[in-house]
Amino acid sequence: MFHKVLIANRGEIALRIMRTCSEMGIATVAVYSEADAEAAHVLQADQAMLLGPAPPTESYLNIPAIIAAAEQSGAQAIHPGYGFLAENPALAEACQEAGLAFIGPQARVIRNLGSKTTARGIMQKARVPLIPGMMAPCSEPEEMARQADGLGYPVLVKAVSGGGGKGMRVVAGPEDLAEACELAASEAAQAFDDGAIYLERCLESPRHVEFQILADAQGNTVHVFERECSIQRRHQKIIEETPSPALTPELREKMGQAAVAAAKAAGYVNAGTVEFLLDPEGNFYFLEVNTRLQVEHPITEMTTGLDLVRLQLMIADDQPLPFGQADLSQRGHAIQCRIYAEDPAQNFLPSPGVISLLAEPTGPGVRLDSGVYEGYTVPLEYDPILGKLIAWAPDREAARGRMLRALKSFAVLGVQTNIPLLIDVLEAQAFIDGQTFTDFLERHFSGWRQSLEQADLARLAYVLDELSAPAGGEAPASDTGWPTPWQSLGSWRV
Amino acid sequence: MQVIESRINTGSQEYKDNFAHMAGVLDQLNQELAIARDQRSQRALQRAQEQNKLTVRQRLDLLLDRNTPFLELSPLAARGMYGGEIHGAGMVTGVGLVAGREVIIHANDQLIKGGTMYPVGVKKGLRAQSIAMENRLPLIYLVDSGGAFLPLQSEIFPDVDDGGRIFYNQAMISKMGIPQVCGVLGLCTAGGAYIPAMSDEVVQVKNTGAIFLGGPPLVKAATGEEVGNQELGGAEMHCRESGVSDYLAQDDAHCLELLREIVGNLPPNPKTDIGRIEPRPPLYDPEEIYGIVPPNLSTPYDVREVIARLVDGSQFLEFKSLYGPTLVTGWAHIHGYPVGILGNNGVLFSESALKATQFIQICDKRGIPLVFLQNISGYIIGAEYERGGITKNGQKMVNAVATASVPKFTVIIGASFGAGNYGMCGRAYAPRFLWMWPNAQIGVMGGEQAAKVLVTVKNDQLAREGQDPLPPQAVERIMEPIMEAAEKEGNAMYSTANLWDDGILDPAKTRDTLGLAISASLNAPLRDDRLGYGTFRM
Amino acid sequence: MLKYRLQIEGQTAEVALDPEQGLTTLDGNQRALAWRALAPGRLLLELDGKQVLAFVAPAPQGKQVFIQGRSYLVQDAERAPSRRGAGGAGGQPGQVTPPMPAVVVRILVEPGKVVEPGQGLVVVSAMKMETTLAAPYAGVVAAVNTQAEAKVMPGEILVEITPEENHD
Repeated sequence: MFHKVLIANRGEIALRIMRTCSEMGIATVAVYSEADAEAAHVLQADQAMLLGPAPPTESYLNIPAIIAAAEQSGAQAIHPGYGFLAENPALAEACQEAGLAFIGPQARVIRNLGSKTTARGIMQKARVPLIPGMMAPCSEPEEMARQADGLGYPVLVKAVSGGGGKGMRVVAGPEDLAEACELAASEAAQAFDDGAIYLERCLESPRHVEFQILADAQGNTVHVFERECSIQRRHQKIIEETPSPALTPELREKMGQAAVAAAKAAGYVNAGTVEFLLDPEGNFYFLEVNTRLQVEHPITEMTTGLDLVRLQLMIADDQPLPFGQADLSQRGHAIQCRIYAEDPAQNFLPSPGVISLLAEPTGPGVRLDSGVYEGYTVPLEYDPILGKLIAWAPDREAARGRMLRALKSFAVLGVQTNIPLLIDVLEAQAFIDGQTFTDFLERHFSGWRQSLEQADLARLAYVLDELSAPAGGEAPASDTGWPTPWQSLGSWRV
Repeated sequence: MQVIESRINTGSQEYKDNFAHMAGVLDQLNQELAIARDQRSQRALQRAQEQNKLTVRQRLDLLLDRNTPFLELSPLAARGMYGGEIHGAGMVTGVGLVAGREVIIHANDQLIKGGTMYPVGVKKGLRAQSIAMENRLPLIYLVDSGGAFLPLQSEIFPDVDDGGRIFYNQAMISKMGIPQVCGVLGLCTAGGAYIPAMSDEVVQVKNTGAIFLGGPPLVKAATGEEVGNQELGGAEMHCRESGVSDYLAQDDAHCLELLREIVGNLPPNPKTDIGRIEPRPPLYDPEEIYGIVPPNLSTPYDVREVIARLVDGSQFLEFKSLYGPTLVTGWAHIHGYPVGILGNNGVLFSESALKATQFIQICDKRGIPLVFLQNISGYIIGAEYERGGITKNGQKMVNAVATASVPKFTVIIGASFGAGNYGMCGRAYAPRFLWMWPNAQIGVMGGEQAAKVLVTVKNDQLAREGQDPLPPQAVERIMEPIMEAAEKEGNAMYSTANLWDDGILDPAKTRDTLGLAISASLNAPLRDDRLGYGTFRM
Repeated sequence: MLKYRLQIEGQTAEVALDPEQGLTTLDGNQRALAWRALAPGRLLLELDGKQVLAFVAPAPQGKQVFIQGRSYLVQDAERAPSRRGAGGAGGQPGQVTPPMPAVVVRILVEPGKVVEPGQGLVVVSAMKMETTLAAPYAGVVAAVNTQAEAKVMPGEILVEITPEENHD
């Protein structure tokens, strides 16, 4: 096993990976940008190396600097986390060249699966069901129009190298197609250096159901069941759960086999995720493979008892999986909420700032993968995720209750968070009924405003805080540490 | 330090009677305070509303930090004078917190005769300036005044402590480096125009604030020029053209917000460290003072019972307890601040005066503030005592009190007669603050005593002329008016109306008042002339 | 009796409090109140016998209060930030400021340009998300006080607009 691993990431996922490393006796190397000198992952690591200035291209996306940091620190392997370089084949290649282990699949596999059309080709051969659509990119407007007619509107324009909703457009009718293609192509060219686009049929009200897969270098591939991630804002998941309320054991079996087939067809080694869309009739379609550890991996860990990071490290160290498919089972129900520093009432506007107060939830079945601490400044340069709250319980309703309890005791002050929205989602009848589709937020929560149910108490708390904090707080004139009578007597009058 | 063991029986009839009496006196006081605070003519209120002006109390609420004390000074000034309507002498002064900073505020009350200045108002304003200078407190003026009350101009204008002194003081305060900030929320006419002009920074309210040396009527009379308030001295003009004002405010609230910002922007003023310790409340409830103080000033009681209800933990290190027992001296803490306390337990004898002199000198050398609890009928008189040098020993005490340079605070808790007033740091001895309890009396001597002295003088005169002493009816005729006048002119209400003190205190609030005042006094460094005294007569 | 008029999301209500009697009036109803400050910013309230934890932190021009998963910005309506800046001329509307610390990406107008309400003026970026700051009303751009790639803070006036009609 490696004795030292560099984590080429920041925030909660870097901390998550470090925890497993520490448990395995592996030393950790954090890397960071100038904006992150006081970030939690830097403070937590055994060693921390500065990469460069705040812009990601000069720090967390700077492959030469990361390789140099690994060499200089004597790390034997690099874990890329998620985001940043996790799905960039160039890092995997650079690791290979430098003689470092890359904790993830091979560069070739990442590259193939990173191209949506190439991936569709591979899956077609493996007989994994595909969303009806094109198998190759196209830049000819007439050809696009013909293809769209064939698929039937609405269609989805997608970037071949896309992700996170960028370079993607829903087109309702033929009159909008040309413009949508143009916009998507230019957006994709800007974001991914690749303006290639293609068309897929646009499924209505699908669910997002994904399967965790694990594959070792010895050729063993298993799936570790599904995660349902339909609750999304701006194409980013915010609430995930497992098991999916929509899957029957038969469907689970079928989709799991498809996921394993997909991984095998791609030559996949290490942990990955095969994403499907599931329509109301129970038909499922291949969406894409995420060649990395997912943000929502903890819910799989909670229901299977596995440590996916440990397994990633073992696979990268050429060890075989210590179990087969038949050894795996799901136990109970887990839900994850992503906690973002953002204002859900203002179109999810990021809310950077200093976390002036932090009270974290605890208790049985509650797990918090956090990347922040009280007094920490949430920087404006990166994704505003603060952490992930995971609740596990024997069944879905108990897990939901547990998550609500945890969210209501999760006080984060100094920045706005999406906690109030998460509470409302979890309390919504549609969620209770398991009616979760990818348009859930638009459908039930567009124009959402926070409930004012606690407003009276909040006003009271304001007044009491004024009373209890020595007043005149603007610039304490305390002479020797104790509040002066001016500060301690309150609204005293002669 | 030893805890003072109270001997008060709160169940006794005497305690209950005393308590009931003091409660009654306080009720009266609170009624007077309420009248002074709230009684305003409907017309004035309406006019202020039409102009979109706030009342002076609303202005103070917005200016002061929320939920912080306001140590208002002389709220009953001018009570019973000028027809009895010039509440607080037409202005509010006091010490408070603004943006965390201890400051003194000087605010006109435009609801009383348009905020015009009466003689006692000038005195009250000058007193606020003295407090600013002695304690180095930034001064905030909220000006809304029609200028001098012209019918009384002869009492306001020319003398050393009249109107001109206000601007002289402003110059001296500025020279001392004490910030002065001015909000112009109404008229600043004639001399009044110099209040903003002589301040460091001026905020003027659009439409209502106006500054000019001569108002429109005067200009018209003098030159025939017809011009309006705003054109002549409005905020737009002074902020854009003349440079008389520095900040333009949209309305009163905005003006006060800006003043808060300006005070918040002042450089910090580290307070003098006199070795403060952690504050603790007294062991006994300060309200019990009501039951301790007898209605009649000549009924003796132990001043230690009062001290026990003023000081931290009721702990008191008594100095020279066996010597000169008619004066109690010793060390304690009030709100954590070390203090040296002198409290009367009877007439001052030579020994008590010598003890006071020594104690004051020690406190002065150590930089410990002095608190005087005055309840004194005077120095002892009589042949024996004159032979014992009571006058020269009294001289030593007066000398020490006058020249001690640590902050001094005086509370007249009972009688304040004769030279006792001087020796126990009366107004003329420059205590930083001086308050009276509502039961207190002040005068050259007690009314009955003064009347008897006059009867004796008359009888001596009659005896020299070989006539009979006065018959009882004649004695009564002489004594009654003197006693009546002494009673009227010697009570706390009369004193406070004339600004002989900084206000009448609820005895139960004495401790907090002293704590606030000591804290405020520490904005000034200890004076550097600490070591000097006048010659002590030996 | 302390009286506050406090604003949450634009709604103002009065809170009256008698700390000595342990009474409060909320929404016109008198309630029994007890409380303890457990630590700075952490309060235990007991209202009519029911306990609840509240978390309070200073926020720009008010306090942020968290109770049972709800998080509000509470502002003193009487001391609400004056809609006007300090001391300058006029009422100073026509200011465009970022809602959060951000980096300027593009400037879409230049001085002298006539703008309509809602028209984009400056694009800022925070945490990889772009936000367009729009004109609050019709008028003429009086000044542009920033440039591309500048780091800007809330309260910083990026674009000044002179309103079409000067309401004074």
